[in-house]
Amino acid sequence: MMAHSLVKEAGLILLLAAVPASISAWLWAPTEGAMTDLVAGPIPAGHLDMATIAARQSDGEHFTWIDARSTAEFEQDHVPGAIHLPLNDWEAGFDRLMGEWDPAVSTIVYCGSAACGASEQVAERLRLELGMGEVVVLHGGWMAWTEFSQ
Amino acid sequence: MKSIHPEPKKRHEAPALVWGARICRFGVGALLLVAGGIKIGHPVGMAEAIARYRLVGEQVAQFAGYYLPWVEVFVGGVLLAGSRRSGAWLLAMLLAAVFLAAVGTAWARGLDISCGCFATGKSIDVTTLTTNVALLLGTGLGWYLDSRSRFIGKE
Repeated sequence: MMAHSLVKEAGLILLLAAVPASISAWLWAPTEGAMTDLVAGPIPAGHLDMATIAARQSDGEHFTWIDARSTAEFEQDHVPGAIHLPLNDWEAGFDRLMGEWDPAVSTIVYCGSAACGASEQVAERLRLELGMGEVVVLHGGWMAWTEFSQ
Repeated sequence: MKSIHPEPKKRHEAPALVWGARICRFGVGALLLVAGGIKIGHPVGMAEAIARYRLVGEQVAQFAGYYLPWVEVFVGGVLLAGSRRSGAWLLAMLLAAVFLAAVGTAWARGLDISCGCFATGKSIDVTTLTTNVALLLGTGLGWYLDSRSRFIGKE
């Protein structure tokens, strides 16, 4: 009897929550494939795709690459010359960056894929701490780099 | 004249029990209300944050992105309001268990993703895990204390 009323109360809350959630879904309808295909969408401000980076490199431009992935992923493979700067080991990574950083050279931050958020957080923190120079996110992350390099 | 009957134990433990239950109820209720309230205006960002855990498919992540914040708001609201709250305690415990499982597995897999706990910016670390463990313990303890205080008729 007690368990019955418990489930009934919980069910009522779930039903009530479904009403505004449905209105919210109707007002801000998600676009089809918005999350599985984040790379294919418009490139957000502060991001660069591999094609643009490659074009700038072919014009003779150099970049400072920042790898914001985990240590295990970085040790497995990374962009040649990339500096490992994960959020959970900021001080050591930032010291490594300061040893090589040139404000005249643009900095590109990447994490695992378009679905990870670490590169945006690292880029945001670098913009605040460095205060100068271009800091952008590699659109599509490491996945985009490997696909482009094949 | 002093009574020969000892005072029932229940009467001694009641104030501590009631206040403990109230603190847990208001703490968990406010936390869920604020956490859900922050996220209800950003359902797509929330859905993306859920998808980044790579535990569910896109459709489920989208559904949860719209629905979960509202469940948090309603559960928190019912706990704060205090009426018919047993179902809210049950849901609060389920939510806390699911959050802890998601954050724990993401941390174990070394995923460099945002937590999605309050806003999308906070990454998963020991603090996030500790917060989720505390939420699960708080809901469990709150449910227990609240049930006992109502059982002895003090709330």
